[in-house]
This record gives sequence, structure tokens and C-alpha cells, in this order.
Amino acid sequence: MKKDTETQHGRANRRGDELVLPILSLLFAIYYLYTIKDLAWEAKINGLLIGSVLILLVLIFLIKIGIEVTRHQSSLRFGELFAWGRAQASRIGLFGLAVLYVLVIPYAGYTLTTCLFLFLAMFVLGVRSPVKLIGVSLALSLTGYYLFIALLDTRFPPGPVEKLFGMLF
Amino acid sequence: MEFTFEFLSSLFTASLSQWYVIVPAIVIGLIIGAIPGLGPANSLIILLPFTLVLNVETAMAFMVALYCSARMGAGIPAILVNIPGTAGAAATPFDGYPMSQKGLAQRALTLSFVASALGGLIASIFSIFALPLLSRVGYYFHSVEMVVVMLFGLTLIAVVSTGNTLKGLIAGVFGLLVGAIGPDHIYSAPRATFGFLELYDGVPVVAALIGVFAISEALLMTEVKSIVTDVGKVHMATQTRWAETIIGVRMAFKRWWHIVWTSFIGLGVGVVPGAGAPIAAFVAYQQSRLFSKTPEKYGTGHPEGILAPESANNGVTSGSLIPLLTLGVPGGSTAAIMLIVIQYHGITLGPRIFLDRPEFPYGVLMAMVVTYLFMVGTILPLARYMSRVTLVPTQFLAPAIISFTLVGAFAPRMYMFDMGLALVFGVIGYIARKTGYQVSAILIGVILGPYIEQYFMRALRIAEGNPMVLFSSRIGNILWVFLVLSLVAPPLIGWYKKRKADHASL
Repeated sequence: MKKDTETQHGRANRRGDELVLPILSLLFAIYYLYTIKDLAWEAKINGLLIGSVLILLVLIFLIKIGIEVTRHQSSLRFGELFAWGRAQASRIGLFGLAVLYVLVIPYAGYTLTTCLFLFLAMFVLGVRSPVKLIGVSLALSLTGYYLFIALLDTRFPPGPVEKLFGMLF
Repeated sequence: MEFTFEFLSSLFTASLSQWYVIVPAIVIGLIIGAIPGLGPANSLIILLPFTLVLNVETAMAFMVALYCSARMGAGIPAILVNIPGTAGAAATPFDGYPMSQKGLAQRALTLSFVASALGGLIASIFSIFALPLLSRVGYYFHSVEMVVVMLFGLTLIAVVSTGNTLKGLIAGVFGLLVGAIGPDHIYSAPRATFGFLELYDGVPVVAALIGVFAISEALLMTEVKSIVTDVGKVHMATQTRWAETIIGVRMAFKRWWHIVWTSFIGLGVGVVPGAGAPIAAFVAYQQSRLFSKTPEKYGTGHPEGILAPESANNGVTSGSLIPLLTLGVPGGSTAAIMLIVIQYHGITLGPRIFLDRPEFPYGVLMAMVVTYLFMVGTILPLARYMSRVTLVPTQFLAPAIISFTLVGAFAPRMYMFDMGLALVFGVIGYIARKTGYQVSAILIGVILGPYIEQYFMRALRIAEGNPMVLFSSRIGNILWVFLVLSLVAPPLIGWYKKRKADHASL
């Protein structure tokens, strides 16, 4: 029957993806309500109201999807969100590099980390020309240094480049 | 005080003579407005020593020019790369970005610039003449009314931003609960902080903005080689010259009435302390669509979908300064910094200033008028060149967006944690975008969450814990009715239209 539903309605009616955010919201609402359970009423009334409304809305949504599934109008299978492909691999690579970027900045400073991040991220996204990889990474990271650190005084932990520029200028 | 033509013309001349601070402030404002996270408030704090050494009129002209141009600048990335510079421009991408994808970025930018400048100009001129009247609006909005105004705004966003009201509401209320992370307003008891000390002050709005808009957009960009479609590229290659700017100007002026009334929405919302540009932009967008003859075109790259939010969020600028100028009460963080500078120069704001020094409050608004006039000449010619950003391959654009916007997440509080938090919001935003939940609704929820709680708790304390206080005010009750109508009307209208169409086809 499941297979019939799939062939009948195609990938467009796969509703699994749409459930991810409501489920996350539901879990967060439960966690929120758990953290306020011992607080004074003034501290919890707002969270209690908003959390309850959120849970109610999610339940209505789940019931709506449940009805559609039982009527074979849609299925609970996942669609594009978790589908594997070249774009998904690039996306995961890019996000992984972004996480590394945030972790490395405190040690290597903004300018050097940004240069390395841009180089690797562009490589992951398919840029292969060494001139473009090096040129764009250097140009953007130095622009970032000038704009954010030199002009706008954003106080990132200093790395070797910031220390060198600090000595020179 | 005599409100004569001579008085106004002397103010205008005095403001014109401040061009040497207004023009640089416009350039700085456009840049910082266009970079998510670097709002006017942060920049004014950095430039505070500079403003303190100037005389107070010049300092105010500089700050007002920077404030107005930052508001206009926020629409630029919203149109070009689907990332609003500030939350006030969160409704602009709905129609701005689809136009960019069609290769019409230059036209979309022109529409945005003309709407911003005209909207801001109209609102500031009106404010000059109606300053005493507008200053009274704030008196009618107390805690109860503010709670309803904010819920109304959130509901509108949920209804406007998606075809599916239920999904819009889930996104908005989820945002509200995220915005309620952190200390409560009575005991400062931390709530839902996941054990992170950095969340004990609540969720930083800028990190949320950058995450749900910029990071998620960068992650989505990996699916395409260019923002612009192939058809759009052909259009840009063959037709995009100065003509596109002229077409945009013509389109905007042809819809001048649209700009006028949406700027008044912005002014009205701006006068109410705490409501702000995001609500104004969404209310204007929703009203524009409601009264449009072609509502189905909204969200597909409709010019009026750009004009309405941009005109409204620039109408807010003069409105938000009115409580400051008339009562000495800052309506937001930028106004609070202005207040510091004004007080440093020994000026006390309040009703007496209209007797003692009337040229000061009117002069500030006149500086705004002059700023908007200057802005048209400064920025319109740039639309052609800015639109080329959309042709940059996403292989370069996505990494650049991540590295530049994460700085914006770090800048306000200088916590590395906030950059990580922006990435978490990026994943939430990515999931939301891929599955049809509007990220604007999440963001506006995060912004309004703390405000709603603050006003709600104040109302409850005044009423000694009686929740019926929320229905105790006439204005509040009228707003409740509108709130319910805004939720019920769209499905009813849709049902009615469908029924009518069915009958016609029979």
C-alpha cells in the first residue's frame, strides 16, 4: 500500500521533512517547560503560555499530517532534506569547515583563519584554479581585516597576522 | 514658537550646510547596513568619541544620516542575496530576491532605493508638521496594548510569510519561545539555557538573524551555480544598462500613492516605542497585498512587494525619534545612543524644549529630510554596479557570506560563542527553508519574545495577576479583533474565491 501511495502521489507528498522542525520545536518546548517547573509563577507564566501554544500547534499539525497519511494522500518518508547527492556533500563539507572556522579563530586569529577557510571552502565547492583560490582568499581576508579589525575595531583574539600588522602599522 | 516659512527655511539651510558630515555618514551607513550584524547602534558606539567632539547639531545630523542610510542599506543584501542586513528588511526578500533571480536586481534595487528615500522623506516632512500630535500617540499604548500589538505583528508575519498559516504560526511561536530563553523579568531566573552561561542574557538577536538568513542561504547556495537563472543572465547581458535604473524609478513613481500610505504605516508603528521596523515592514507588506488587485503576484518578484516594506521601514526612522525628541524617551538602542550625545551637550529633552530651543527637535527632523534628499543622488547610480553581485558564482559567494556575516554575529557582544550559535541557527534556518517554514517568522519571534514577556509581566503586575487585564483596554480589544480577523480572514477569503470560481466554471 505504501508503495502504491508513493507511485500515486510521487515525491511531492513526502511529508517527513516537514515534521523535522515541529518535532524539534516540540522537544524544545518540553525542555523549556521542564527548566521552569520549579520557578515562581511570575518567572514561568510567559514560557508556560507560549510553550503550551507551541505544543498545541504542533499537535494540530501532526494530527493534520496523520489524517493525510491515513487517507493515503501523503507519506511520512523523507524527501530532499536528507537525500544524498553532490550538493548535499558540498553542503556538509561547507558546514564542517564553518564549524572548524569558529573553533580555530581563537588560536589563529581572524585573518589567517578566514584566508584558510575561504581557500578550503571554495575548493570544496569546486574551484580548482590556484590563482582564484589564493587570490580570492587573500583579497577577501585582507579586506575583512581592514574593514572589521582596522576600521570597525572588532576585537577578535589576535593571531600571527594581526600581531604582525600591529607591529608594522 | 512661530512655525513660519522662514523658520523652516532656516532649518533647511542649516541642515544643508551639514553636508560634509551627512554625505560620509550616508556612505558609512549604507555599508554597515548592508553587512548583517553591524547595525547603526554598534557603529554609533564605535564613533561615539567623534560625535562628542562635534557640536550637537552637527553630531545629530551625522547620527541621523547614518541611522537612515543604514536602514536603506539593509535592503541591499536582502534583494541581492536573500539576506536582510537588519530585521527591519526581513520582508524585502519576499519579492526582491525573486526579481534578482530573474536578472532584475538593478530594477529591484532602484525600486527599493526610491521607496526608501521617498518613504523616509514623506514621513519626516509629515513629522515636522505633526510633531506635537504624534508625540501623543505613545500615551495611548500601555503594556496591554503593546502585548496585543506584538502578537498582532507576529500573527501577520505568520499569515503573510507562507501560504500555510499553521506552519507560519509554528515558526513564529517557536521563535517566541527561543526569544524567551534567558532570565525572566522579575527574578532574573535563567530558563532553558542548556547550561550555557552566554545564554544567561538571552538569545542574541544578531546571531539569530545571521544564522537563519545568512548561514542558511549560504548552505542553500551549494545547490546552484549562480543566484540568477539562465534566463535572468541573458536578460542582464542584453538589457541591463542605465535603462533598468530609469525603468525602476518610473515604476516607483507610477506607484507613488503606494509609497505614501505605506510610509505612514511605518511612521505610525515607529511612534509606538518597541514595535519597530520589522513589524512596520510586515504590516505594510500584508496591507499592500490585501488591497492589491494582483495579490497572487506577491512573492514572485512583484514591484509593490518591495515598495511597501522598504517605504514602511524608512517611515519608522522619523517615527522612532519622536518619543526621544518630545519626551526624552528613546524608542530603541540607536535613539538611546543619540540621547547620550544630546545629554553630554547639556540639552534636556522633554516638553520644555519646544519653548526653550524649538530649533533643535525640528532641526533633527530637517536633517533627516536633507539626508533622504542626498541619499537619492548618492545611491541611485550605484544600483547598476551593485546588481553585478548576483552574477558572482556561488562557489565564491557562499564562503564569503559565511566568513563575513559570522563577524557580525561576534561583533555586538564579542563572544566566540555567538558565532557558534549563528551556525546552530543556520541549521534551523536551513531546515525551515527546505521544508516550507518561513525564517522571517522565526526571527521576528526571537526579537519579540523578550518584549512580549516584559509588557505582559508589567500588565499582570499592575492588574495583580488578573489575566483579564489583556482585555481591559478599548484599543487593545480593537487590536484583538484585528488579530483574530487576520487569522480567520485569509482562509475564508480563499474559500469564498474558490467557491466563486467553481460556480463560474459550472
